[in-house]
Amino acid sequence: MSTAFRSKGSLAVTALALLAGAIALLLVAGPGPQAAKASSHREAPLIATDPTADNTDLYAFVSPDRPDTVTIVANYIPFQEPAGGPNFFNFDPSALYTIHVDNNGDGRDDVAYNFRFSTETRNPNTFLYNTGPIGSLNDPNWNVRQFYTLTRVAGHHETVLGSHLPSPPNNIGPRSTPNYGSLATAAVNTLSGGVKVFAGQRDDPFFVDLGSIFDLGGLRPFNALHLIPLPPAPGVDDVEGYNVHSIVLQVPIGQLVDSTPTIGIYASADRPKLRILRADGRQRNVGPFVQVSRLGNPLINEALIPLGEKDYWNREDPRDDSQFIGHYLNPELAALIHVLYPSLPAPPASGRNDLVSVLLTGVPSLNFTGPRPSDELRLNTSIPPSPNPDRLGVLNGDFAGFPNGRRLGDDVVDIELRAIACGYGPILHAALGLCDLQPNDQLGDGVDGNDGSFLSTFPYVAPPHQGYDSHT
Amino acid sequence: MRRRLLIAGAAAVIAAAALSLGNVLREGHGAGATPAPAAVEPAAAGTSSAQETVERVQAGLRANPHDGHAYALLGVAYEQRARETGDSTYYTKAGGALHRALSLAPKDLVATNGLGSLALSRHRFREALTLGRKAHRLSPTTALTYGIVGDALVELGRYPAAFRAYDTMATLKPGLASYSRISYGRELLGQTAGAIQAMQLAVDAATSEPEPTAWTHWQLGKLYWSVGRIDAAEHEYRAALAAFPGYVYGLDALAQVEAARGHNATAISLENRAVDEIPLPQFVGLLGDLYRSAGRPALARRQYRLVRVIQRLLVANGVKTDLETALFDIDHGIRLRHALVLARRAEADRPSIDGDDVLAWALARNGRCGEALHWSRQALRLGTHDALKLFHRGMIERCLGHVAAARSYLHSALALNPHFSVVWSPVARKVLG
Repeated sequence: MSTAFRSKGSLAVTALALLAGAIALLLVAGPGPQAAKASSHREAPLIATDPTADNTDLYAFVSPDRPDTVTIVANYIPFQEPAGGPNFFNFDPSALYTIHVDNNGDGRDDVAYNFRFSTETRNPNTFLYNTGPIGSLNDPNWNVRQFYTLTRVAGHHETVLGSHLPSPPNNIGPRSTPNYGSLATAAVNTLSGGVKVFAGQRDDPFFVDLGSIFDLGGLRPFNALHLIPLPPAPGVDDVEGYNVHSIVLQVPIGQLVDSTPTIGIYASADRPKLRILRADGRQRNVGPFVQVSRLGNPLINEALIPLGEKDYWNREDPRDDSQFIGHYLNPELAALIHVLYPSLPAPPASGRNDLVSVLLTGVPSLNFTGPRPSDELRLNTSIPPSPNPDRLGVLNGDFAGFPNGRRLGDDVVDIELRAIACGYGPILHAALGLCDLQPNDQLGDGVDGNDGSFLSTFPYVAPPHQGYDSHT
Repeated sequence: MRRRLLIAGAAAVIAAAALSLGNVLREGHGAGATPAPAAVEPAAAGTSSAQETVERVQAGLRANPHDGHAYALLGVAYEQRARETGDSTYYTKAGGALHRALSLAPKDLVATNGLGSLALSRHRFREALTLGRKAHRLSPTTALTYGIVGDALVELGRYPAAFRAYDTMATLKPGLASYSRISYGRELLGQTAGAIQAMQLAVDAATSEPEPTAWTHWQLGKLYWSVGRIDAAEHEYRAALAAFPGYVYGLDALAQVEAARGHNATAISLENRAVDEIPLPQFVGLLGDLYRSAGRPALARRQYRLVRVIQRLLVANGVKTDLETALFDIDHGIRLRHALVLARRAEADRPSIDGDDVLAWALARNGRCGEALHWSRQALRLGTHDALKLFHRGMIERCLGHVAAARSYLHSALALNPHFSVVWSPVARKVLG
């Protein structure tokens, strides 16, 4: 160890700088508005973010109003400012978006739903998104529209469930999109076999106090316990007011499960591989798809996978996740908690089989799928929806919530924080013997819910914020 | 806007930060703790956010001046400021911070990538190659490091190795950054249709993000422009400006379109807007050329003098400008013998087809056409469809008395892109009669 890091004080200061660095990472968004180059040589961007392929959150739950079905929500293109004009948000027409379902615990998908988008421009002589109010999905005033094809893949069997399915427009404002609700409703597509699908802009259901967590891992309600104490305060939702693009799919349970009721779900985004030249010297313009983003449980890549492995992790499939098991058994975050909150009991920083169970194999007698570790969102479809969903899900005895699937309102930040801090709470401690350090089982960022109200029916995700009313 | 970009990446980052802290605890230094995997070419975001990052990191450094990683972040933020403002003094600040970072934390990935990127910006390509390879050793599965290595190799004229690096990058992580490099590789090989196709994929990948959208449309437009498809080029430039109003590269490109159409006043007005925003030497030089062809030599000379001032500023901040200065001087008939010295030095340092071409042109303009022919052959060795290089070759052949060859090359240049240069397209036409 270098001397600079021996005392906790300097470590914390280092941490401060690192957090600032994380913020710097956020700045890496593109080649730059006025990316002034002194040079004349070609400088292509070297960017980290890729929002159209950035799979930010995945949800899966037994549909509360149709309990014989499962609803899966996969979100892409995070942090859309509603007043985003002149640029509006769309899926990447060259990418492949997929929802994967593993129904036998081997980490491989048995059923997959592929989404391919196409963009249609009515009038190529204008770059305007719309030239008047958009009254319907066919409105000639709407210039840039997206459509998609949904294909179900099971083994070698591919079935096109729907083609040229419409996406709704972005929610621009009272002049452009005066009856947004009806546009969104019209974009709910009911397909054969009882499948429903929606793909388009919604309110981002994720909620978290980024501002405080960025500031040296702060949790406002626990400010007094922090290494650098501050007065306690309620949390602030920094995702409030932002939109996202949601793919929402509802499928009868019978079309997903095999012999057991528990399924493992993950979402991905792929892009076509390109080469300058093929081995034989000829050129192949577009190659096969390569996975560039995947998501099962929330925050895995962010919280557990080291920086230098992130690209690699995203390319790999869940069936090969045993190679990453060390990051679950020995999470670096666990050691951090005691550093930043010296008065809290230190959770073990190694041998964390509890995290392997919750995140990689499923919890015994809840949603265990076998010994093969794979990062999938596991949902036991035989557990009926809860009439009174608890944001802390299984930790509070609500077995219809995370980590049994994930509902829109589940507070995964608090749940995962408590899990890493070994604060599973008395219920799971009694039932499964999971560790319950106190007061670690009370930790949280103080943001307990989403800013928008979820819908009680499909597509459940709240409508997108309107540009006109946007505060940002 | 700033806010959206600031938090783009979102939830992701919470933990990237926390992870970094964890690494510090575990390893006791910044290695592997780098939270910004690709903060090499940070950009976008409003001007203020980079400045905020600078201030935030500086505050941390006042408390702990031995924090190597914080210096890395500071350096990257300074690089971003350079890009946002065109103020090359930020390069010097960035270099200082990044070197300090590596002296404190030799394995810091952000600092290594940051220095690699900085070296590319300063045209120090051998140094960039070394740094890119070092970053690659630190994280062999990260796609971005192949971009730094490939970019350096291209400028060093080591094309097969460069293209392998680009192909690997696009295999590891297809996306905007790799597609645009695949496109460039194909363009260099004269495969313009394939280059356009790759850049179209980059446009698609940039969907929903204003700056990348503008950048990719501009690049796509330049590809169309390079083969004389002016209408298609203009459409892409206008798409860039629609996605990002006031985008300087879009204004500059559109000025060239207007000049090609004979709308000199509009071209001058557009170029002035670009120059007012960010006075890059190539913008100022073109503005001078536009004034000159509009019959306003005094205004032209004023721009040319400004070009020299900007170039001196760049040099003072560590940017190698020999190649650009040589070409500018040769094109404008300034100190031709000195320009040849510069061109030789530039080619030795940067033996790419661009280096070869400028040396060929410098030799030709100094009357040493036999020698020039060798370098022109080198410059065209990839089969690149570059009208300016073909024009140079034509003039060299003409100088050597190879009338048929001269006509053939000049004809090829004009056939490829009749408006390849405000200054030289008319000359090519005149020579051909």
